[in-house]
Amino acid sequence: MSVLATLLERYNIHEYAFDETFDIDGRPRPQYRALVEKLAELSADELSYRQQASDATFLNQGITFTVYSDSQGTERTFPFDLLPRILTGHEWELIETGLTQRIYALNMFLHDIYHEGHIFKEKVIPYDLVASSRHYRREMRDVDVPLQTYVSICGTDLIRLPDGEFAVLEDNLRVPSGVSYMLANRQVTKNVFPTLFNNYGVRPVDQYAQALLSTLESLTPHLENPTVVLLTPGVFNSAYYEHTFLARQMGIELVEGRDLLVHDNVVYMRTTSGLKRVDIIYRRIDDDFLDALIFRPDSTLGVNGLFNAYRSGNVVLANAVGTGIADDKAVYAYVPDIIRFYLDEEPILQNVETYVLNDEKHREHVIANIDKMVVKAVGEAGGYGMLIGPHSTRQEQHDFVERINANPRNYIAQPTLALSVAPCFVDMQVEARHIDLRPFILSGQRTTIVPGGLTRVALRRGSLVVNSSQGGGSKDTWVLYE
Amino acid sequence: MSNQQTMLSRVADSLYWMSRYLERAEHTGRLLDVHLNSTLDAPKKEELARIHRLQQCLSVAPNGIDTTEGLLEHFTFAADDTTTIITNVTLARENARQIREQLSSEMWTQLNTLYLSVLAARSSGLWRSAPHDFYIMVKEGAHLFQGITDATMNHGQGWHFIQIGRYLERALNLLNLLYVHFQDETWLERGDVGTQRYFELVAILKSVTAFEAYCKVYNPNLQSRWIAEFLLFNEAFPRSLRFCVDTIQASLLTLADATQRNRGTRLYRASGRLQSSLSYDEISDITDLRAYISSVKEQLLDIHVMLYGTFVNYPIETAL
Repeated sequence: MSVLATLLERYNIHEYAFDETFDIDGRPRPQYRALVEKLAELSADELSYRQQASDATFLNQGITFTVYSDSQGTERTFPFDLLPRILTGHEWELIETGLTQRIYALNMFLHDIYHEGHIFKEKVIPYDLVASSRHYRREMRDVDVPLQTYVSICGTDLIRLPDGEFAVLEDNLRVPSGVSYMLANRQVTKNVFPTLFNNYGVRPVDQYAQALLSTLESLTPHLENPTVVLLTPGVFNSAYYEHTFLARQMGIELVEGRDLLVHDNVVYMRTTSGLKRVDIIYRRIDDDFLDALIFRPDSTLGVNGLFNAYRSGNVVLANAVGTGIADDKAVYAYVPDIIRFYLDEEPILQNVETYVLNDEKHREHVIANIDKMVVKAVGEAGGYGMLIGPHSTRQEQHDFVERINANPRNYIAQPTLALSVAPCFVDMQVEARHIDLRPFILSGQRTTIVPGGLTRVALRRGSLVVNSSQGGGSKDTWVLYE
Repeated sequence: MSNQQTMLSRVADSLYWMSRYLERAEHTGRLLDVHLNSTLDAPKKEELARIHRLQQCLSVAPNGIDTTEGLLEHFTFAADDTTTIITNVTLARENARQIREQLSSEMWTQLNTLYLSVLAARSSGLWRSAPHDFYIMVKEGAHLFQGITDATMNHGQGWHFIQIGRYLERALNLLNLLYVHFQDETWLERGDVGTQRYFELVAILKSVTAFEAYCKVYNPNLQSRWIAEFLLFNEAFPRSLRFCVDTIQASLLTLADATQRNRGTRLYRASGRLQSSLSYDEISDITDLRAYISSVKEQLLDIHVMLYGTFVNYPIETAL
């Protein structure tokens, strides 16, 4: 085709991975047809011009994140690829019901393990596995949280396997970030492809901030006009831009630990009009740093006495304390069983095959095949502390085996997966790159998922790592009505 | 929504200090520029005395600097001194950065640009080759920030904290200047002041951009006493003590309404008392100018402390 002779010249249909845009024969899938036709009209220069314009938008608006390992110029923009990723209404329906089922079961699981522990008595998951997690919070035993909703904001990472099925790669149940990029990407894409966007029938995502605020407010059904604040670690945090963005969108105060104080188990913020009672805290600080009296004593980011106010039911924290246990990567392996146990249903979304290295048989198999495995530390996020077998040296593999043997509970392994690919504009050509999808799930009195999410892209050729801290980028995600 | 009236104490604190630091940077820049200019006219043997006097105006003890170039370099770039341009511009920017979402993006851009220009002038050597241009850039940068602030930011609580910071700092700087320059009985002198004293008086006025404004009121007849009267009591000149205190008082009253504070508290009594004494006092009533200046300065510092006690670091028992 003449089209393919231009922009798509170097585009190869991937051998192993699922191609989001083209079928095996190189024909565009129905939902991508109009986009591919649009690309046929554009020259590389035109596309490049639009890419530069969108990059400038991100820079000028200061939409940046911070890289911890980089001591120089730590503020960077998150690379944006302007070709949208498109999901049909049918695909989205599956994702939506699957995620709703999953978050429902995970909330029941969290309630159970901090209360009666039925799931241990039925031997669905070993007690030791849960209690030995770094994220298990003994302090939460028998603490009741509003609506029994532990996780109000969740960002689950989905991938697409070579057969086209969606699978859950990990659940991020602590303080997931990235939603501001989902919203910013949409703004920019609308400017870049206005007509195309208009003709496509894309479901909106702009209602996210409003939905988040309603979800948070629904956690205090007894209060008329609850005061909600967003608690940030401060300007040096990697997601600070997102914190300011969400606070502004919701019209709530962006507070730091030093703005809050606890008196008689009630939380107040210090304002120019005096102390003002705080009812709900959307906290973007990990459990460890929330309250130096209970958790890490060296933390200066939190508020002394906050946990007691929380335990007394005088303030709501979203997410609840202790949710990290359910995204411990070893517990992840049990999520399908957790869904069956609490809901008596089959999981709609599959897990990725996972070896729990505490198990001796699993461990032997993984060590023997380490060059084909992805090994992850159970408590880490953001792509830190992992080994990608096929892309590692012998020495790195050797080091990881030693680490596994020293502390098997701390690691899991998964076969190296070929994430699906989608076209991206790189070096004046459109090429295939691996992608994943992080939708954002809100649960309070009801569960809301804005149609879309953050599609992350591994921009380096052949790379499977999509994390922003590891050279990934993102693109807009269009969910169609049909 | 009630949320819109809420302002965190930390935010008010940062806005107030951002404004004070920038005013201080501008003041230092202007003093250095005036000094540089008058060095050309004044006798060489006077230089050291004038250097010391400038240090006094900035409340710094003589620290071994004995050349104009050393003086300029120190008060422009020394990072370990709280009166220098670089320190104050950096601190103003740091405060702004912590509360960036509270500023208009135009304000942030202007402050950031000013900061980067000061850094660039050091590495390019601009301040050495064309010091006058450099100090004009600093002053204009600060003026531009003020204009952008007034034109792009809501004139709500935050803006009033910016106003109070700016005018309190301005008043204190003015009082220091007068205190240093009107020693002994010299300020009572009348008639022809002599060339040297004439240049000094011009320098005082120019240090607060008051030369032209003064001439419009008193003709270019420079008399210490009239200068003192103009800088202390003129109600229309935006750098006079009275103008500063009027502005502070107006902002405090607006804040009282916005935060539902009782106007009968010590803060409001103190600022109200100072404002009315400035509007009724006359220069002929003052016998000891330095004592008068010290007393006003004391009252301004009290207002600063009480402002903090009212809006920022109030004890929690009083606020429950």
